Amino acid sequence: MEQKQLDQLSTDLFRPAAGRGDLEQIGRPSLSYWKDAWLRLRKNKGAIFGLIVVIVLTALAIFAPMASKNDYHTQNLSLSKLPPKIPVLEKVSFLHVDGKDKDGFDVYKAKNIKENYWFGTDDLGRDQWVRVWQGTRISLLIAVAAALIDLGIGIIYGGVSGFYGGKVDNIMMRIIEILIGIPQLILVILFILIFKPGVSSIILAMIITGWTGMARIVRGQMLKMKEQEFVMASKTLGAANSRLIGKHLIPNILGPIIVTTMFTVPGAIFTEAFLSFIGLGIAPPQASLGSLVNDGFRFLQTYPYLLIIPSIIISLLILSFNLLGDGLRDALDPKMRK
Amino acid sequence: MLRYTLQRIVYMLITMFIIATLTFFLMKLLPGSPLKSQDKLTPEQITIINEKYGLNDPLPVQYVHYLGNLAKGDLGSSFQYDNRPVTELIGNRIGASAQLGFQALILGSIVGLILGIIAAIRHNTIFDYGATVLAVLGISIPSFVFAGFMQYILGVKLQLLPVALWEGFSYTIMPTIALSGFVIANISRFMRTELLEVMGSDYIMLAKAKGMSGTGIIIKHALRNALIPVITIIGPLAVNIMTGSLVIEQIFAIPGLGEQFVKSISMNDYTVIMGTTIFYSALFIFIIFVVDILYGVIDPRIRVAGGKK
Repeated sequence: MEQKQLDQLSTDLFRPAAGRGDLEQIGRPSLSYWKDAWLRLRKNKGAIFGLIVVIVLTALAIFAPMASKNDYHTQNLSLSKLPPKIPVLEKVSFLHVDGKDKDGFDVYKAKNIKENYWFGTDDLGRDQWVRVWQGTRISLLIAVAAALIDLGIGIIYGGVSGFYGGKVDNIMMRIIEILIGIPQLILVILFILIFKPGVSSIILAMIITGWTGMARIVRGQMLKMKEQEFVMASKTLGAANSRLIGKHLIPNILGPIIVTTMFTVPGAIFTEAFLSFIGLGIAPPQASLGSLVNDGFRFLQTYPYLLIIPSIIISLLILSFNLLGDGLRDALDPKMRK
Repeated sequence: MLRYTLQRIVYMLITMFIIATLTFFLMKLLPGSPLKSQDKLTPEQITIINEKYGLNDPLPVQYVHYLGNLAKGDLGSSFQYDNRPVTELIGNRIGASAQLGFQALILGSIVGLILGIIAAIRHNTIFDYGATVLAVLGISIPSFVFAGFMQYILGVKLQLLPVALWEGFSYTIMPTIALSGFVIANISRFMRTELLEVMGSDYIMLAKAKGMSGTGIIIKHALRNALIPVITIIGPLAVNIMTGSLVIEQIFAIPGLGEQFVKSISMNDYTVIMGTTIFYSALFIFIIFVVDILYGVIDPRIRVAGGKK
């Protein structure tokens, strides 16, 4: 009886309840991992400062030497040891960029030089502005190249070791343990003694032991990840090893990899500078930040700007990479949030 | 524990052997020889010298000979410093370096611990942020830059401290501070994290619940447990101080091992380079080894032998 009545109800009598659609809508847009990370990174003032400084310094390193009409190697003794002079900032007295030397003597006026050398000139009359940015370029090039090659070797070695596990892993890890035991600096020094100091030999020397850190991290992550359900699911569906590694494992361990690379770069900048100090750095007339600081020490008492400016740039560069790395570590790993 | 110690000793020996071998063959690969630069030597003299140093023997013979000497603690003699044995040269120089290194390590540890403790106790206050900023700066500013600024401000401008050389305690102040910056930064950061973690653990809560005072808890329970992991980073930090001293000794003209090493590099004094390299490596490896073993002995929660990394 009731059934019959229900059947008689026509569909025209129904209409959708109001507001129903809103309830089913997802309140917030879904965020991908990277968007989420970026949102977190953006809140970290230190990291954003680091990011901006890294971008600005990199841009200056690339474009400043090109934009200047001076180059980094032409010597002109009549222009030697000019103090820095920057047009607008010269009025700010504590910056000492007014073209006067430490006794307050205006060298530019005395020598009747019209051009402004923003960072002054060195003892051979080379434009320090160009040399500093050229040096930054070399330092960055060495550091980034070393970090990227470390990354490549580390991913392959650590990936293979972690993915296959067992005997392969055991042997590969013993090799790493022994390599880690050798002090890196000693190897680097020996290496550069044999292959003459230069950009490529310095990069090569840094890689020799540098990749072990990355390999260990990749291996650790691999071991953790490959036991997870989504990998098992993919395996059950018949995915090949290459697909497992490329599509599932590597993308999931990108976070720690990026963070490690971020910390490798300042380390490499420091190592390069260190090599300059013990006389194994970039050979003149080429310059790196380290060699400029090292040269600056000779003029500590007389022309301190030759030491101070490159020192500030190298510190700022390392500081920014560290801040950015710290920020990325927090941003890419939600578990690490305070 | 014993098994672990033995295993570590075997690793240590293997590493030392590899370093010794590597140094030997890399040195043989080096272009040129220290004798070639002396044009005054006649070919006969060169033959005599080569004979004396065994440089005419086939490479494997030289290698075995070298390893044998090494085992006896003989690092050969310098080409440049009138044939003086390398061990003697190292012995003469090690004093200043050791003093500088220990001073930096002690100063860095004390200041770092204090900063870290303050930062953890006054968590999320201005003290904490101050200590964090200091730590980031300490890690980022290279010791040589720090040294340069100190030399300029304290030495040249204010003339408070001697700019360079090594003639008394006041000469050691600036290099010590410059070297300890990195140590301070690392220890304070590590101490802060460890202490915060310990403070959040159950046994601290229990002590609080039993009515123990705040300082009592920190001194009796928190500090003790937080200090243990800090020991692990002392090893790498000591290594960092040693490498840092290569540069710092150069900047402050300190007659230490690092300064001599740098000099021997520029003079192609191969035996000194080799000897010092091996000496440094042995020291590095030994320090890391001692710290690892100490850690296992001190921390009752960790028994390294069974555990996996």
